[in-house]
Amino acid sequence: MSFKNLKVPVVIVIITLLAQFIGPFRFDIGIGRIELLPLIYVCIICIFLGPKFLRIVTDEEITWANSKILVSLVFLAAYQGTNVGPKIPLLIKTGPALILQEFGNLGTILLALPIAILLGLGKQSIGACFSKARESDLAAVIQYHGADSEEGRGLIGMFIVMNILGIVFFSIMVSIATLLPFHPYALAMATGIGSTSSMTVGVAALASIYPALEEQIVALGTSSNLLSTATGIYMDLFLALPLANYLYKRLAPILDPKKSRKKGNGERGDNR
Amino acid sequence: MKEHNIATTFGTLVMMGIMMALVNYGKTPPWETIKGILIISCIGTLAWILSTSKAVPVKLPPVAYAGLLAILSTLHGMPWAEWVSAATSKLDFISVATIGIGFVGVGMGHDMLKLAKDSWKYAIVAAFVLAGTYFGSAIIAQIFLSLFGTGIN
Repeated sequence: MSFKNLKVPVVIVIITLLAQFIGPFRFDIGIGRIELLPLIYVCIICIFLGPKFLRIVTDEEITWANSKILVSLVFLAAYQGTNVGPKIPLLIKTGPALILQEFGNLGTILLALPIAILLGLGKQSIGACFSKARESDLAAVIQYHGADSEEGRGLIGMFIVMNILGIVFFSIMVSIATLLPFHPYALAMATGIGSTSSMTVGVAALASIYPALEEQIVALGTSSNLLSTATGIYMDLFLALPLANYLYKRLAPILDPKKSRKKGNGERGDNR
Repeated sequence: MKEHNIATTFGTLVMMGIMMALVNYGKTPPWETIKGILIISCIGTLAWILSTSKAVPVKLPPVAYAGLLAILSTLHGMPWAEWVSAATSKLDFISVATIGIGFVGVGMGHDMLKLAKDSWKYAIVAAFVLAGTYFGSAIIAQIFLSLFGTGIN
């Protein structure tokens, strides 16, 4: 690694330090909270560093950074694994309901993918809908499609939106669900989607409706979230992304015939 | 990661770790995080070796091996588990994630204007993504709770 390549890392560190200095923005809007975390400032600023906008990094430096993305996600995956390991005995003790509801996370694809295709997002729909688009979900799409692909852009778009609006949307969702005939434990388990902030908000909303069950709700939410964190990457790689790719191929010609006929849409033009 | 070999992979991981340590300077001084960074870098390098080696019959992406190896190295009962956990717990999730996101952001670096124009579509789809994962899980949990009971007392 030559020293001229140190520019990108130095720039990222400086931007991160600035973002941390500015700090998070949170504003309550009654039904929930809109959140802007330093993480999102970093993501958005870094996207615009290229020669077309801020002209801080060159095209070669972009290519270099691109080649390092997977390694940085390996770092993140290894770090998350070290958090999961000590809690494995705890996870083994959980019941079958808690483990099997993990597969409910695939519901993102069944519900959201057709809508994204209808809205004309094209192949970006795959990246946007295959998961809840949190930090640990970046790896699967980047592994198989690359960051600079339609799927990658869809994922980053969803990542940004989820980080800003996720908590508001999630608390609305949990409140609606309590009106339906679900067992409070089922609702508590479902809050664990693999994002600690969402789980915390969801569990808090449930606990205020069922105060007598607070302890169990918190325990179920926390273990379910941990389980999602532990299985998330494998679910993404081996189930969610292949399923999203498959459904896209099937649904796109029906729901958005214009875009799926136009072959230049993906850079490889290999759809169908 | 075709263009990487063992040395550059390890070097890049350590570089990520140093960036993380710098960003996290205010919370934890770097000399406390360095051990955790080196351990994570070793796990990551080993994951990369397993993923690219022809001697390993099971082909998994490096992130998948990294997660598995990290879980194994902190699993209760492993002689080194406590030592590894103590070192890696000094690292901070948000800092690690932010550095990764920074690289993703720089590495995309093209065609993002269209994404900004489509942001309202993403907001709509986001609501359905969350509804999908939440109700999907709640429905399955409800079915199995009524079949097997709650699993906790």
